Amino acid sequence: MTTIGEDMSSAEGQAIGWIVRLHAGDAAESDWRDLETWLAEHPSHLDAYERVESLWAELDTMAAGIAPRLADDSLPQAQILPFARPERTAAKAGAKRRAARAWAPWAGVAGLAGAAAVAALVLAPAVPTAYATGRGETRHVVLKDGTKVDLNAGSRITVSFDGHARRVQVDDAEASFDVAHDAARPFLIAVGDQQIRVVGTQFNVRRRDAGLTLTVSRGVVEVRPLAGGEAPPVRLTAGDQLARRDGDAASTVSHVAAAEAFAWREHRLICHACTLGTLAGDLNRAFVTPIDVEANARPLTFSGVLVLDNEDAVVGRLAAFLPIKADRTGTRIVLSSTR
Amino acid sequence: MDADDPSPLLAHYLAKREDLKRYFTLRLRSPEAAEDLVQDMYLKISGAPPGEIDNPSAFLFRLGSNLMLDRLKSQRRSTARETGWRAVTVSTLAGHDVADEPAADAAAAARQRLGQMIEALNDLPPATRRAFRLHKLEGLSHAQTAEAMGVSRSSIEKHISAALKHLFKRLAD
Repeated sequence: MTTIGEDMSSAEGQAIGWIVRLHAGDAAESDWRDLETWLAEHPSHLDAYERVESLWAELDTMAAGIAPRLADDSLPQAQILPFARPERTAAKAGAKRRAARAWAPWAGVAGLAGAAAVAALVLAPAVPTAYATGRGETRHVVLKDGTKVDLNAGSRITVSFDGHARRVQVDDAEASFDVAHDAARPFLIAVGDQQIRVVGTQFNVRRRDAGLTLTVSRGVVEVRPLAGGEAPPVRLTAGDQLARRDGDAASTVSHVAAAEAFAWREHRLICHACTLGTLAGDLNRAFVTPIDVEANARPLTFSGVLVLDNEDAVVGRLAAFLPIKADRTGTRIVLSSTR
Repeated sequence: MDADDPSPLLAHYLAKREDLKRYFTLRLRSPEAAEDLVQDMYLKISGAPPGEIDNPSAFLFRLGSNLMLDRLKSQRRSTARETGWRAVTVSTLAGHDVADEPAADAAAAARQRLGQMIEALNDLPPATRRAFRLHKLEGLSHAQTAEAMGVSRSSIEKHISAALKHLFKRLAD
Protein backbone atom coordinates (compact mmCIF):
# COMPACT_ATOMS: atom_id res chain seq x y z
CA MET A 1 0.00 0.00 0.00
CA THR A 2 2.93 2.32 -0.54
CA THR A 3 1.29 4.42 -3.21
CA ILE A 4 -1.71 5.61 -1.25
CA GLY A 5 -0.24 6.93 1.97
CA GLU A 6 2.51 9.08 0.52
CA ASP A 7 0.77 12.38 -0.08
CA MET A 8 -1.37 12.08 3.01
CA SER A 9 -0.33 13.70 6.25
CA SER A 10 0.56 11.21 8.93
CA ALA A 11 -2.19 12.61 11.17
CA GLU A 12 -4.78 11.80 8.51
CA GLY A 13 -3.38 8.33 7.99
CA GLN A 14 -3.55 7.71 11.72
CA ALA A 15 -7.07 9.15 11.95
CA ILE A 16 -8.17 6.64 9.30
CA GLY A 17 -6.65 3.88 11.41
CA TRP A 18 -8.67 5.06 14.42
CA ILE A 19 -11.95 5.27 12.51
CA VAL A 20 -11.47 1.78 11.08
CA ARG A 21 -10.58 0.30 14.46
CA LEU A 22 -13.48 1.92 16.32
CA HIS A 23 -16.04 0.75 13.75
CA ALA A 24 -14.77 -2.83 13.52
CA GLY A 25 -17.68 -4.03 15.64
CA ASP A 26 -15.71 -5.13 18.68
CA ALA A 27 -13.95 -1.97 19.85
CA ALA A 28 -13.24 -1.95 23.59
CA GLU A 29 -13.35 0.89 26.07
CA SER A 30 -9.54 0.94 26.00
CA ASP A 31 -9.67 1.77 22.26
CA TRP A 32 -11.74 4.86 23.01
CA ARG A 33 -9.35 5.87 25.78
CA ASP A 34 -6.38 5.42 23.46
CA LEU A 35 -8.13 7.60 20.89
CA GLU A 36 -8.71 10.26 23.54
CA THR A 37 -5.00 10.25 24.40
CA TRP A 38 -4.04 10.54 20.73
CA LEU A 39 -6.52 13.38 20.11
CA ALA A 40 -5.18 15.31 23.10
CA GLU A 41 -1.57 14.96 21.90
CA HIS A 42 -1.72 17.63 19.21
CA PRO A 43 -4.41 19.96 17.77
CA SER A 44 -3.73 18.63 14.27
CA HIS A 45 -4.95 15.21 15.42
CA LEU A 46 -8.48 16.39 16.15
CA ASP A 47 -8.58 18.34 12.88
CA ALA A 48 -7.55 15.25 10.94
CA TYR A 49 -9.97 13.02 12.84
CA GLU A 50 -12.87 15.38 12.10
CA ARG A 51 -12.10 15.40 8.40
CA VAL A 52 -12.03 11.61 8.20
CA GLU A 53 -15.12 11.23 10.38
CA SER A 54 -17.00 13.68 8.19
CA LEU A 55 -16.26 11.56 5.12
CA TRP A 56 -17.26 8.41 7.02
CA ALA A 57 -20.61 9.98 7.97
CA GLU A 58 -21.18 11.32 4.46
CA LEU A 59 -20.84 7.77 3.13
CA ASP A 60 -23.75 6.73 5.36
CA THR A 61 -26.01 9.43 3.97
CA MET A 62 -25.09 8.39 0.43
CA ALA A 63 -25.33 4.62 0.97
CA ALA A 64 -28.57 4.15 -0.93
CA GLY A 65 -27.20 6.14 -3.88
CA ILE A 66 -23.89 4.32 -3.92
CA ALA A 67 -24.96 0.69 -3.55
CA PRO A 68 -26.72 0.19 -6.92
CA ARG A 69 -23.90 1.77 -8.90
CA LEU A 70 -20.91 -0.10 -7.50
CA ALA A 71 -19.02 -2.22 -9.99
CA ASP A 72 -19.20 -5.99 -9.68
CA ASP A 73 -17.10 -7.28 -6.79
CA SER A 74 -17.72 -11.02 -7.05
CA LEU A 75 -14.72 -12.99 -5.94
CA PRO A 76 -12.63 -14.85 -8.49
CA GLN A 77 -13.13 -18.36 -7.12
CA ALA A 78 -16.91 -18.09 -7.04
CA GLN A 79 -17.69 -19.03 -10.64
CA ILE A 80 -16.31 -19.79 -14.08
CA LEU A 81 -18.70 -19.33 -16.98
CA PRO A 82 -17.90 -20.18 -20.60
CA PHE A 83 -20.30 -17.69 -22.21
CA ALA A 84 -21.36 -14.19 -21.38
CA ARG A 85 -25.07 -13.94 -20.69
CA PRO A 86 -26.96 -12.57 -23.69
CA GLU A 87 -28.72 -9.83 -21.75
CA ARG A 88 -25.47 -8.12 -20.85
CA THR A 89 -25.37 -5.10 -23.09
CA ALA A 90 -22.36 -3.77 -24.92
CA ALA A 91 -22.40 -0.67 -22.75
CA LYS A 92 -22.25 -2.79 -19.64
CA ALA A 93 -19.39 -4.86 -20.98
CA GLY A 94 -17.59 -1.61 -21.76
CA ALA A 95 -18.05 -0.47 -18.19
CA LYS A 96 -16.57 -3.74 -16.98
CA ARG A 97 -13.53 -3.28 -19.18
CA ARG A 98 -13.03 0.22 -17.86
CA ALA A 99 -13.31 -1.08 -14.32
CA ALA A 100 -10.81 -3.84 -15.09
CA ARG A 101 -8.33 -1.31 -16.44
CA ALA A 102 -8.85 0.98 -13.52
CA TRP A 103 -7.94 -1.56 -10.90
CA ALA A 104 -5.20 -3.23 -12.88
CA PRO A 105 -2.46 -1.27 -11.06
CA TRP A 106 -3.85 -2.64 -7.81
CA ALA A 107 -3.72 -6.26 -8.86
CA GLY A 108 -0.27 -6.88 -7.47
CA VAL A 109 -1.16 -5.15 -4.23
CA ALA A 110 -4.24 -7.22 -3.65
CA GLY A 111 -2.55 -10.41 -4.80
CA LEU A 112 -5.24 -11.29 -7.32
CA ALA A 113 -4.69 -13.77 -10.10
CA GLY A 114 -5.46 -11.58 -13.11
CA ALA A 115 -7.02 -14.18 -15.40
CA ALA A 116 -9.35 -15.57 -12.77
CA ALA A 117 -10.39 -12.08 -11.76
CA VAL A 118 -11.26 -11.14 -15.33
CA ALA A 119 -13.28 -14.35 -15.72
CA ALA A 120 -15.22 -13.36 -12.63
CA LEU A 121 -16.28 -10.08 -14.21
CA VAL A 122 -18.28 -11.92 -16.84
CA LEU A 123 -21.04 -12.84 -14.44
CA ALA A 124 -22.55 -11.53 -11.27
CA PRO A 125 -23.45 -14.67 -9.34
CA ALA A 126 -26.35 -15.04 -6.95
CA VAL A 127 -24.46 -15.62 -3.72
CA PRO A 128 -27.11 -15.72 -0.98
CA THR A 129 -26.50 -13.47 2.00
CA ALA A 130 -28.35 -13.97 5.26
CA TYR A 131 -29.30 -11.08 7.53
CA ALA A 132 -30.47 -11.86 11.05
CA THR A 133 -31.27 -10.09 14.29
CA GLY A 134 -31.39 -11.44 17.83
CA ARG A 135 -33.61 -10.54 20.74
CA GLY A 136 -33.90 -6.84 21.39
CA GLU A 137 -31.93 -6.03 18.24
CA THR A 138 -33.08 -4.26 15.07
CA ARG A 139 -30.99 -3.65 11.98
CA HIS A 140 -30.97 -1.32 8.97
CA VAL A 141 -29.43 -2.71 5.80
CA VAL A 142 -28.86 -1.12 2.39
CA LEU A 143 -28.76 -3.88 -0.22
CA LYS A 144 -26.60 -3.83 -3.35
CA ASP A 145 -29.37 -2.28 -5.49
CA GLY A 146 -30.09 0.54 -3.02
CA THR A 147 -33.12 -1.17 -1.50
CA LYS A 148 -33.42 -0.36 2.19
CA VAL A 149 -34.48 -3.03 4.66
CA ASP A 150 -35.29 -2.60 8.34
CA LEU A 151 -35.30 -5.86 10.28
CA ASN A 152 -37.28 -6.19 13.49
CA ALA A 153 -35.93 -8.17 16.44
CA GLY A 154 -35.71 -11.96 16.15
CA SER A 155 -35.81 -12.00 12.35
CA ARG A 156 -33.96 -13.70 9.53
CA ILE A 157 -34.04 -13.11 5.76
CA THR A 158 -31.84 -14.38 2.92
CA VAL A 159 -31.05 -12.22 -0.10
CA SER A 160 -29.70 -13.31 -3.50
CA PHE A 161 -29.46 -11.06 -6.55
CA ASP A 162 -28.54 -12.03 -10.09
CA GLY A 163 -28.94 -10.49 -13.54
CA HIS A 164 -32.59 -11.60 -13.77
CA ALA A 165 -34.13 -11.03 -10.39
CA ARG A 166 -33.64 -9.83 -6.86
CA ARG A 167 -34.80 -12.62 -4.56
CA VAL A 168 -35.47 -12.55 -0.86
CA GLN A 169 -36.52 -15.46 1.33
CA VAL A 170 -38.38 -14.32 4.44
CA ASP A 171 -38.18 -16.91 7.19
CA ASP A 172 -39.48 -16.16 10.70
CA ALA A 173 -39.20 -12.38 10.41
CA GLU A 174 -40.73 -8.94 10.32
CA ALA A 175 -39.17 -6.49 7.91
CA SER A 176 -39.93 -3.21 6.14
CA PHE A 177 -38.73 -2.83 2.58
CA ASP A 178 -38.16 0.34 0.59
CA VAL A 179 -37.42 -1.23 -2.77
CA ALA A 180 -35.25 0.53 -5.33
CA HIS A 181 -36.81 0.73 -8.78
CA ASP A 182 -35.27 -1.61 -11.33
CA ALA A 183 -37.65 -2.50 -14.15
CA ALA A 184 -35.22 -5.10 -15.52
CA ARG A 185 -34.96 -7.11 -12.32
CA PRO A 186 -38.16 -7.75 -10.35
CA PHE A 187 -37.91 -7.91 -6.58
CA LEU A 188 -39.35 -11.28 -5.50
CA ILE A 189 -40.00 -12.25 -1.91
CA ALA A 190 -40.77 -15.85 -0.99
CA VAL A 191 -42.68 -16.03 2.27
CA GLY A 192 -44.53 -19.14 3.47
CA ASP A 193 -46.43 -20.49 0.48
CA GLN A 194 -46.69 -17.11 -1.27
CA GLN A 195 -44.57 -14.96 -3.52
CA ILE A 196 -44.60 -11.16 -3.31
CA ARG A 197 -43.61 -9.37 -6.50
CA VAL A 198 -42.48 -5.78 -6.28
CA VAL A 199 -41.42 -3.14 -8.74
CA GLY A 200 -40.53 -0.17 -6.52
CA THR A 201 -42.42 0.50 -3.35
CA GLN A 202 -42.49 0.52 0.43
CA PHE A 203 -44.14 -2.18 2.53
CA ASN A 204 -43.90 -4.23 5.70
CA VAL A 205 -43.81 -8.04 5.78
CA ARG A 206 -44.62 -9.89 8.96
CA ARG A 207 -43.98 -13.63 8.90
CA ARG A 208 -44.73 -15.26 12.25
CA ASP A 209 -46.13 -18.66 13.22
CA ALA A 210 -47.08 -19.80 9.68
CA GLY A 211 -49.02 -16.58 9.10
CA LEU A 212 -48.33 -13.66 6.77
CA THR A 213 -49.34 -10.02 7.13
CA LEU A 214 -48.30 -7.71 4.32
CA THR A 215 -48.94 -3.97 4.53
CA VAL A 216 -48.22 -1.59 1.66
CA SER A 217 -47.55 2.08 2.32
CA ARG A 218 -46.52 3.18 -1.18
CA GLY A 219 -46.63 1.79 -4.72
CA VAL A 220 -47.99 -1.58 -5.81
CA VAL A 221 -47.12 -5.18 -4.98
CA GLU A 222 -48.54 -8.46 -6.26
CA VAL A 223 -48.93 -11.65 -4.23
CA ARG A 224 -49.34 -15.11 -5.73
CA PRO A 225 -48.87 -18.69 -4.58
CA LEU A 226 -45.27 -19.86 -4.82
CA ALA A 227 -46.58 -23.01 -6.52
CA GLY A 228 -48.03 -20.93 -9.37
CA GLY A 229 -51.48 -21.89 -10.68
CA GLU A 230 -54.33 -20.38 -12.63
CA ALA A 231 -55.61 -17.76 -10.23
CA PRO A 232 -54.63 -14.14 -10.95
CA PRO A 233 -52.30 -12.55 -8.38
CA VAL A 234 -53.70 -10.42 -5.60
CA ARG A 235 -52.74 -6.81 -6.28
CA LEU A 236 -52.19 -4.48 -3.33
CA THR A 237 -51.85 -0.72 -3.39
CA ALA A 238 -51.06 1.87 -0.72
CA GLY A 239 -53.06 1.28 2.45
CA ASP A 240 -53.89 -2.36 1.65
CA GLN A 241 -53.13 -5.11 4.10
CA LEU A 242 -53.17 -8.79 3.19
CA ALA A 243 -53.47 -11.46 5.88
CA ARG A 244 -53.39 -15.23 5.48
CA ARG A 245 -52.17 -18.42 7.04
CA ASP A 246 -50.14 -20.99 5.10
CA GLY A 247 -52.49 -23.35 3.25
CA ASP A 248 -55.49 -20.98 3.26
CA ALA A 249 -57.43 -21.09 0.01
CA ALA A 250 -57.85 -17.30 -0.02
CA SER A 251 -56.25 -14.29 1.64
CA THR A 252 -58.09 -11.48 3.39
CA VAL A 253 -57.40 -7.97 2.12
CA SER A 254 -58.47 -4.93 4.11
CA HIS A 255 -57.76 -1.23 4.00
CA VAL A 256 -55.77 -0.04 7.01
CA ALA A 257 -53.75 2.87 8.33
CA ALA A 258 -50.52 1.56 6.82
CA ALA A 259 -48.27 3.58 9.13
CA GLU A 260 -49.34 1.35 12.01
CA ALA A 261 -47.59 -1.65 10.49
CA PHE A 262 -44.30 0.27 10.57
CA ALA A 263 -44.68 1.38 14.20
CA TRP A 264 -42.16 -1.24 15.39
CA ARG A 265 -39.42 0.86 13.83
CA GLU A 266 -40.18 3.51 16.48
CA HIS A 267 -40.34 0.85 19.20
CA ARG A 268 -44.13 0.98 19.36
CA LEU A 269 -46.56 -1.90 19.13
CA ILE A 270 -50.10 -1.14 17.99
CA CYS A 271 -52.75 -3.68 18.95
CA HIS A 272 -56.35 -4.01 17.85
CA ALA A 273 -57.74 -6.72 20.11
CA CYS A 274 -54.45 -8.68 20.11
CA THR A 275 -54.54 -11.74 22.35
CA LEU A 276 -51.98 -11.83 25.10
CA GLY A 277 -50.65 -15.03 23.55
CA THR A 278 -49.81 -13.20 20.30
CA LEU A 279 -48.53 -10.15 22.12
CA ALA A 280 -46.13 -12.28 24.18
CA GLY A 281 -44.49 -13.45 20.94
CA ASP A 282 -43.67 -9.85 20.01
CA LEU A 283 -42.49 -8.96 23.50
CA ASN A 284 -40.27 -12.01 23.61
CA ARG A 285 -38.51 -10.85 20.47
CA ALA A 286 -38.25 -7.24 21.59
CA PHE A 287 -36.94 -7.93 25.08
CA VAL A 288 -34.36 -10.12 26.69
CA THR A 289 -36.14 -11.60 29.72
CA PRO A 290 -38.47 -14.38 28.51
CA ILE A 291 -42.19 -13.91 29.18
CA ASP A 292 -44.43 -16.95 29.66
CA VAL A 293 -48.20 -16.60 29.49
CA GLU A 294 -50.32 -19.10 31.43
CA ALA A 295 -53.10 -20.78 29.44
CA ASN A 296 -55.79 -18.92 31.42
CA ALA A 297 -54.35 -15.55 30.30
CA ARG A 298 -53.60 -16.32 26.63
CA PRO A 299 -57.09 -15.46 25.26
CA LEU A 300 -57.26 -12.05 27.02
CA THR A 301 -57.20 -9.24 24.47
CA PHE A 302 -55.53 -5.85 24.53
CA SER A 303 -56.18 -2.81 22.32
CA GLY A 304 -53.94 0.24 22.33
CA VAL A 305 -50.41 1.41 21.73
CA LEU A 306 -47.59 -0.11 23.75
CA VAL A 307 -44.38 1.88 23.91
CA LEU A 308 -41.61 -0.74 24.02
CA ASP A 309 -39.23 1.25 26.15
CA ASN A 310 -38.43 -1.15 28.93
CA GLU A 311 -39.63 -4.66 29.65
CA ASP A 312 -40.72 -4.13 33.24
CA ALA A 313 -42.57 -0.95 32.37
CA VAL A 314 -44.40 -2.71 29.49
CA VAL A 315 -45.40 -5.63 31.71
CA GLY A 316 -46.58 -3.11 34.32
CA ARG A 317 -48.77 -1.32 31.76
CA LEU A 318 -50.32 -4.57 30.57
CA ALA A 319 -51.08 -5.53 34.16
CA ALA A 320 -52.78 -2.16 34.61
CA PHE A 321 -55.08 -2.77 31.61
CA LEU A 322 -55.74 -6.49 31.89
CA PRO A 323 -56.79 -8.70 34.79
CA ILE A 324 -53.37 -10.31 35.06
CA LYS A 325 -50.49 -10.50 37.47
CA ALA A 326 -46.79 -10.77 36.70
CA ASP A 327 -44.51 -13.07 38.69
CA ARG A 328 -40.78 -13.20 38.30
CA THR A 329 -39.47 -16.73 38.65
CA GLY A 330 -35.70 -16.69 38.44
CA THR A 331 -34.92 -15.34 34.99
CA ARG A 332 -38.46 -15.42 33.53
CA ILE A 333 -41.64 -13.39 33.82
CA VAL A 334 -44.89 -15.36 34.14
CA LEU A 335 -48.21 -13.69 33.35
CA SER A 336 -51.38 -15.31 34.68
CA SER A 337 -55.05 -14.36 34.91
CA THR A 338 -56.34 -13.07 38.24
CA ARG A 339 -59.93 -13.89 37.35
CA MET B 1 -37.47 -4.24 38.80
CA ASP B 2 -37.91 -1.08 40.87
CA ALA B 3 -37.61 2.39 39.44
CA ASP B 4 -34.64 3.09 41.71
CA ASP B 5 -32.88 -0.06 40.54
CA PRO B 6 -31.32 1.14 37.26
CA SER B 7 -30.72 -1.14 34.29
CA PRO B 8 -27.11 -2.35 33.88
CA LEU B 9 -26.59 0.08 31.01
CA LEU B 10 -27.91 3.01 33.01
CA ALA B 11 -25.68 2.02 35.92
CA HIS B 12 -22.70 2.01 33.55
CA TYR B 13 -23.70 5.38 32.23
CA LEU B 14 -23.86 6.86 35.71
CA ALA B 15 -20.45 5.40 36.54
CA LYS B 16 -18.84 6.65 33.30
CA ARG B 17 -20.59 10.00 33.00
CA GLU B 18 -17.51 12.09 33.82
CA ASP B 19 -15.31 10.08 31.44
CA LEU B 20 -17.84 10.55 28.67
CA LYS B 21 -18.11 14.25 29.35
CA ARG B 22 -14.32 14.65 29.27
CA TYR B 23 -14.03 12.78 25.97
CA PHE B 24 -16.85 14.68 24.28
CA THR B 25 -15.55 18.02 25.58
CA LEU B 26 -12.39 17.23 23.67
CA ARG B 27 -14.34 16.10 20.57
CA LEU B 28 -16.77 19.03 20.53
CA ARG B 29 -14.25 21.62 21.77
CA SER B 30 -16.87 22.79 24.26
CA PRO B 31 -17.86 21.65 27.76
CA GLU B 32 -21.41 23.00 27.25
CA ALA B 33 -21.96 21.07 24.04
CA ALA B 34 -20.54 17.95 25.73
CA GLU B 35 -22.92 18.34 28.67
CA ASP B 36 -25.86 18.62 26.23
CA LEU B 37 -24.73 15.52 24.40
CA VAL B 38 -24.25 13.48 27.56
CA GLN B 39 -27.77 14.55 28.64
CA ASP B 40 -29.15 13.37 25.31
CA MET B 41 -27.43 10.05 25.85
CA TYR B 42 -29.30 9.66 29.13
CA LEU B 43 -32.62 10.15 27.32
CA LYS B 44 -31.66 7.56 24.71
CA ILE B 45 -30.60 5.00 27.28
CA SER B 46 -33.58 5.40 29.57
CA GLY B 47 -36.03 5.26 26.63
CA ALA B 48 -34.58 2.40 24.61
CA PRO B 49 -35.52 -1.24 24.95
CA PRO B 50 -32.73 -3.17 26.66
CA GLY B 51 -30.73 -5.42 24.42
CA GLU B 52 -27.90 -7.73 25.26
CA ILE B 53 -24.88 -5.44 25.24
CA ASP B 54 -21.53 -7.15 25.47
CA ASN B 55 -19.41 -4.18 26.30
CA PRO B 56 -21.50 -1.39 27.81
CA SER B 57 -18.65 1.12 28.22
CA ALA B 58 -17.60 0.94 24.58
CA PHE B 59 -21.28 1.01 23.63
CA LEU B 60 -21.68 4.34 25.48
CA PHE B 61 -18.78 5.94 23.60
CA ARG B 62 -20.22 4.69 20.33
CA LEU B 63 -23.72 5.88 21.19
CA GLY B 64 -22.40 9.35 22.02
CA SER B 65 -20.38 9.47 18.79
CA ASN B 66 -23.44 8.45 16.77
CA LEU B 67 -25.55 11.15 18.40
CA MET B 68 -22.83 13.65 17.61
CA LEU B 69 -22.76 12.56 13.97
CA ASP B 70 -26.55 12.68 13.75
CA ARG B 71 -26.37 16.32 14.77
CA LEU B 72 -23.69 16.92 12.20
CA LYS B 73 -25.86 15.31 9.54
CA SER B 74 -28.95 17.32 10.42
CA GLN B 75 -26.89 20.49 10.26
CA ARG B 76 -25.62 19.48 6.87
CA ARG B 77 -29.07 18.55 5.69
CA SER B 78 -29.93 22.22 5.68
CA THR B 79 -27.15 22.96 3.24
CA ALA B 80 -27.82 23.01 -0.46
CA ARG B 81 -25.54 20.11 -1.22
CA GLU B 82 -27.30 17.76 1.15
CA THR B 83 -30.78 18.80 0.03
CA GLY B 84 -29.78 18.30 -3.54
CA TRP B 85 -28.23 14.93 -2.90
CA ARG B 86 -31.28 13.56 -1.14
CA ALA B 87 -33.54 14.52 -3.99
CA VAL B 88 -31.23 12.80 -6.42
CA THR B 89 -31.42 9.63 -4.38
CA VAL B 90 -35.15 9.70 -3.99
CA SER B 91 -35.73 10.17 -7.67
CA THR B 92 -33.89 6.90 -8.30
CA LEU B 93 -36.36 5.06 -6.07
CA ALA B 94 -40.03 4.71 -6.80
CA GLY B 95 -40.45 8.04 -8.51
CA HIS B 96 -43.29 9.11 -6.21
CA ASP B 97 -41.34 11.12 -3.76
CA VAL B 98 -39.70 13.93 -5.59
CA ALA B 99 -41.76 16.72 -4.17
CA ASP B 100 -39.18 19.33 -3.26
CA GLU B 101 -37.15 19.97 -6.33
CA PRO B 102 -33.86 21.51 -5.24
CA ALA B 103 -32.19 24.32 -7.11
CA ALA B 104 -30.71 22.91 -10.29
CA ASP B 105 -27.14 23.85 -9.40
CA ALA B 106 -27.37 22.21 -5.95
CA ALA B 107 -28.76 19.03 -7.45
CA ALA B 108 -26.01 19.04 -10.05
CA ALA B 109 -23.33 19.50 -7.38
CA ALA B 110 -24.80 16.66 -5.33
CA ARG B 111 -25.00 14.37 -8.33
CA GLN B 112 -21.41 15.20 -9.14
CA ARG B 113 -20.28 14.43 -5.59
CA LEU B 114 -22.11 11.10 -5.60
CA GLY B 115 -20.63 10.33 -9.01
CA GLN B 116 -17.11 11.05 -7.75
CA MET B 117 -17.66 8.83 -4.75
CA ILE B 118 -18.86 5.93 -6.92
CA GLU B 119 -16.07 6.43 -9.43
CA ALA B 120 -13.48 6.37 -6.65
CA LEU B 121 -14.98 3.20 -5.19
CA ASN B 122 -15.10 1.53 -8.59
CA ASP B 123 -11.38 2.15 -9.02
CA LEU B 124 -10.66 -0.07 -6.02
CA PRO B 125 -9.74 -3.73 -6.48
CA PRO B 126 -12.90 -5.87 -6.35
CA ALA B 127 -11.97 -7.55 -3.04
CA THR B 128 -11.43 -4.17 -1.38
CA ARG B 129 -14.70 -2.87 -2.80
CA ARG B 130 -16.51 -5.99 -1.62
CA ALA B 131 -15.13 -5.66 1.90
CA PHE B 132 -16.15 -2.00 1.91
CA ARG B 133 -19.65 -2.80 0.62
CA LEU B 134 -20.30 -5.56 3.15
CA HIS B 135 -18.94 -3.55 6.07
CA LYS B 136 -20.00 0.00 5.34
CA LEU B 137 -23.17 -0.41 3.27
CA GLU B 138 -24.53 -3.69 4.62
CA GLY B 139 -23.50 -3.13 8.21
CA LEU B 140 -21.48 -6.30 8.83
CA SER B 141 -18.75 -6.18 11.46
CA HIS B 142 -15.15 -6.88 10.48
CA ALA B 143 -15.51 -10.41 11.85
CA GLN B 144 -18.70 -11.06 9.84
CA THR B 145 -17.16 -9.55 6.70
CA ALA B 146 -14.11 -11.77 7.15
CA GLU B 147 -16.36 -14.80 7.42
CA ALA B 148 -18.42 -13.81 4.37
CA MET B 149 -15.27 -13.37 2.27
CA GLY B 150 -13.36 -16.30 3.72
CA VAL B 151 -10.35 -14.19 4.69
CA SER B 152 -8.76 -13.08 7.96
CA ARG B 153 -10.00 -10.21 10.09
CA SER B 154 -6.74 -8.35 9.64
CA SER B 155 -7.12 -8.38 5.87
CA ILE B 156 -10.60 -6.86 6.26
CA GLU B 157 -9.05 -4.11 8.36
CA LYS B 158 -6.49 -3.53 5.59
CA HIS B 159 -9.19 -3.45 2.89
CA ILE B 160 -11.32 -0.93 4.80
CA SER B 161 -8.30 1.27 5.59
CA ALA B 162 -7.18 1.15 1.96
CA ALA B 163 -10.68 2.05 0.74
CA LEU B 164 -10.97 4.95 3.15
CA LYS B 165 -7.49 6.28 2.34
CA HIS B 166 -8.30 6.12 -1.34
CA LEU B 167 -11.66 7.92 -0.88
CA PHE B 168 -10.11 10.50 1.40
CA LYS B 169 -7.37 11.28 -1.07
CA ARG B 170 -9.82 11.60 -3.93
CA LEU B 171 -12.69 13.36 -2.18
CA ALA B 172 -11.90 15.11 1.06
CA ASP B 173 -11.76 18.88 0.83
